[in-house]
Amino acid sequence: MHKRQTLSLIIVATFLVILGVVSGVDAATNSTNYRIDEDFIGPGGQLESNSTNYRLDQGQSSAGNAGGVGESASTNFQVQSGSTTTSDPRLSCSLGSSSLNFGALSTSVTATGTATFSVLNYTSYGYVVNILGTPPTTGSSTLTAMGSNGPSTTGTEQFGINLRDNSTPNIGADAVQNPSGTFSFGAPTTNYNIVNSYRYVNGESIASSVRSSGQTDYTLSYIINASTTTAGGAYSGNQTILCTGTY
Amino acid sequence: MTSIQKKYQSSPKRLFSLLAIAGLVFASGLSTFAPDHTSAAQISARKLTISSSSAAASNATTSYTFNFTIPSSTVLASAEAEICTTASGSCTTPTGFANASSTLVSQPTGLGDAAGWTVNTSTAGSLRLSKSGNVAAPTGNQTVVFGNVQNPTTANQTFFARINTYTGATWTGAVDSGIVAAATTSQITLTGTMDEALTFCTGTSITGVNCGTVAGSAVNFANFSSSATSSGTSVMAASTNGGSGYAITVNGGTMTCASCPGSPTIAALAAQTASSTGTAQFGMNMRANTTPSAGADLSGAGTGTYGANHGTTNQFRFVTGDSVATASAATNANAFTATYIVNVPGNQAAGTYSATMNYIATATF
Repeated sequence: MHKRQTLSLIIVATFLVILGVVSGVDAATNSTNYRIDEDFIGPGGQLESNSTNYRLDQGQSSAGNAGGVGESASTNFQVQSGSTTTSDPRLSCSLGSSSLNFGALSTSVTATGTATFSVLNYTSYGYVVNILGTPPTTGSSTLTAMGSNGPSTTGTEQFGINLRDNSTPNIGADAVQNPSGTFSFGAPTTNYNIVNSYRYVNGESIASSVRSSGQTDYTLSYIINASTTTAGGAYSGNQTILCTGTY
Repeated sequence: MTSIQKKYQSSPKRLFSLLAIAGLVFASGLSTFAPDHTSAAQISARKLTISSSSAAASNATTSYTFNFTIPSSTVLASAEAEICTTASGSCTTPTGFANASSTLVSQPTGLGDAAGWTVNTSTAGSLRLSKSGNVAAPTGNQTVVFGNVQNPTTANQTFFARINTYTGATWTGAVDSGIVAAATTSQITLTGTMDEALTFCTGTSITGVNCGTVAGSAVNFANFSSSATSSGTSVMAASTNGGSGYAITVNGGTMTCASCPGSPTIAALAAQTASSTGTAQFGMNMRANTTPSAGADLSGAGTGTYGANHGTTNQFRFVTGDSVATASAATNANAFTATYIVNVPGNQAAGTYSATMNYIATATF
């Protein structure tokens, strides 16, 4: 009888050890009634995390700190904390506008339009956004792209863009960092970052970030000016933006 | 009581041995199914550049350029980029993505041998290349370019390329890996309309080529003389965005005295002729003439020119319907000066002569 109990104990212990090995490599902890996806659980609140010599600033549990990211320091301790997140790369590149109608082109009034796009990347060494596509065409006639930076000039055939809040003509918006400039770093490239100066070169880089960035919302401002020789007809063209991240 | 229990009872040492072996075997088996934390080395400086982010279907024309740096110097025989909707976990090919027609645009650089790599399209959703018998180890930075790839057809979708390298030519023997993200976007369609335009004006004076300044509608030759040429001018300006330009014709009759008995006329010059006093002549041209001193050449930045029979200095003609100015393509404005001459013989009937000139500009778009 004593041997039987010993045997049972050994069997149970063996399985517990084996199960322990298995659970130790399981990233998710769960049962019927709960699940914890990330099994590293930090201190749970600033009030409970203070003493004379240390403090943990627990962002997730305090109003106004959305990310649980913060730096805690005292004379004797310093803690930089943050949420544990996926190491998977991410690149989000979305266009908010699918069509722009410039209406009647004119030799005396600049036709304008705007389109928006947003870019977000993660675990990368930054991203580059290129714009692709030819200027609008009708038949064999293509609107003249502005190969170098210049102002909008009525009466001169021009097709150009920039990513700024312009006054001449009054269109566009500056890039918006979302949620803030602390987390997002995208910016228009130099040639497309000058107020009231337009340009369009197919394939050129129009925006970039040199590091991992939260969402940056960009506004593409288009201008079209027609000359007396701008061929009559219905103009159309397709443009795409191309986002490339480096990881 | 079972026979096994009997055995256990009869031989506890043997039972311990069996249990120990069973435990080891079980643990060993479990470790096989436990997640493998000893992953392949990470490929660095990874980048996927697609030639177009268009999500258009039936458009297998996109090139996928992979730039990366392999950390190990193991000789490779194959590599692949699995295109997935997620960066990790089981791979689901994004809707619409297709590699069936993919090609190797050029031989990869830095991956191994300089030549002999071939594309393999047999595995849907995976861009693959291999070279059986490759002997060179990877060096420096690698570039692999696939062509004729069909992008995922969902706009504004992020997708992932899981890059893996292998020692085997059949994508076996994994060495290094790395993941990159890319995205499709919707297209921006730009539309606008440029109205067909023809700007044309006539008068007797104009500032530059600006039709807004044109004025006057009558040319008075005063008294005709058999010894001196009477002359006068009118102006016109034209521009068009018509792709084939414009043609301007003059339409009307020669100088006629409608109030005179028999309605006498001054003979029009049916061919280009020099001005000759004492002879009945009514003619015109579009040049700056010296005999008589009248008229002006065209002005303006346009590409318009003179009509065939009205562009010779000191040569005049009048045939209704003649083309006096043309442009062969869309053109900015030009201003033209029409010069009229009148010569009369000594027996020209007295009276007041007049004529009306209608200029018609026709653009071809």
